[in-house]
Amino acid sequence: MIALGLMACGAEGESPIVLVPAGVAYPVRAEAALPPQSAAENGARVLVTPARRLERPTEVVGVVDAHEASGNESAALATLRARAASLGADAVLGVEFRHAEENHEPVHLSGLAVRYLDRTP
Amino acid sequence: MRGKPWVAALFLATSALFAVGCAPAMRSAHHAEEARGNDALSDPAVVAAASRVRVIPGKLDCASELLGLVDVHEHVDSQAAALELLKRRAAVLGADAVTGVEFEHGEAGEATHLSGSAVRCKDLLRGRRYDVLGKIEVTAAMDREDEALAELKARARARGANLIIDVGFEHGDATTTRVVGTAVRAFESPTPSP
Repeated sequence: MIALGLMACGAEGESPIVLVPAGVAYPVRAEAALPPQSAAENGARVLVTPARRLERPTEVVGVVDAHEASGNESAALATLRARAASLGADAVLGVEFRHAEENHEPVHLSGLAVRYLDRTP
Repeated sequence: MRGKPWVAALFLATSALFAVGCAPAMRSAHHAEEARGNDALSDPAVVAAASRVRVIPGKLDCASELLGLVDVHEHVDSQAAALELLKRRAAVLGADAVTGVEFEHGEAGEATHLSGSAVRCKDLLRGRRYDVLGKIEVTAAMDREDEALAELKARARARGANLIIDVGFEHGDATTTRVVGTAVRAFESPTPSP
């Protein structure tokens, strides 16, 4: 069997197309081999707490907030976590929850997104 | 915060010290900005320094010197912009970090509150022993932190202090600021003469 590896070069600026025959080992970056995680999945690992400090050292990476329609508190929490995760945060500290006073007002969640400084890489 | 009191947000920079006698005067970032002109925050050197300023909810892991208090009360385009402004104000003071950072989301139509202590790693005590002269507490109107700090320093000096330790800053509510510290007299040598 002849293994063919063809590279078709398209117009300038386009990525080359690589054809790889079956049975040939192809280097794949580890992260590319993992199934993509959704923002919600990434956010699920983020600690959300009203505490303003943790026992472990942390550094602020951003301020996050989420505004959702009244009654969508769970969605607001998920949004807050997802936004923190997108910043590389491990936790959101000092989280404040503002319940809508009127039906048409949104619920608010906000806090400081922090990453752990003592996290093992 | 409409309909409920502002939660007291006290942070004590327990490792932060402030020299009363010979160090540059503790000041607010607003004061420093005014001294350097309104474009100080856009100075490329300040922008570059701000990128190195760490923002920490707790305190630094080194003995530190308090350079001033920084806050963002005004309306900004985004939360990220508020954080950047806080860093630039700390950079104007020559800070390595902003510690004890607190965030309060304003109600609709109200400004966001972001505040903390601008500090740099510096051991002002250098192993010296000291006499505690007393605790000092100063209350001032919001946005008048510089006046509160100046008053704290004046009271400490009047007691014969050359350092203020355990300096803390409290945004008690939407209208007042409280600054506390312990006035001490540090000996010149590491151990006092008998």
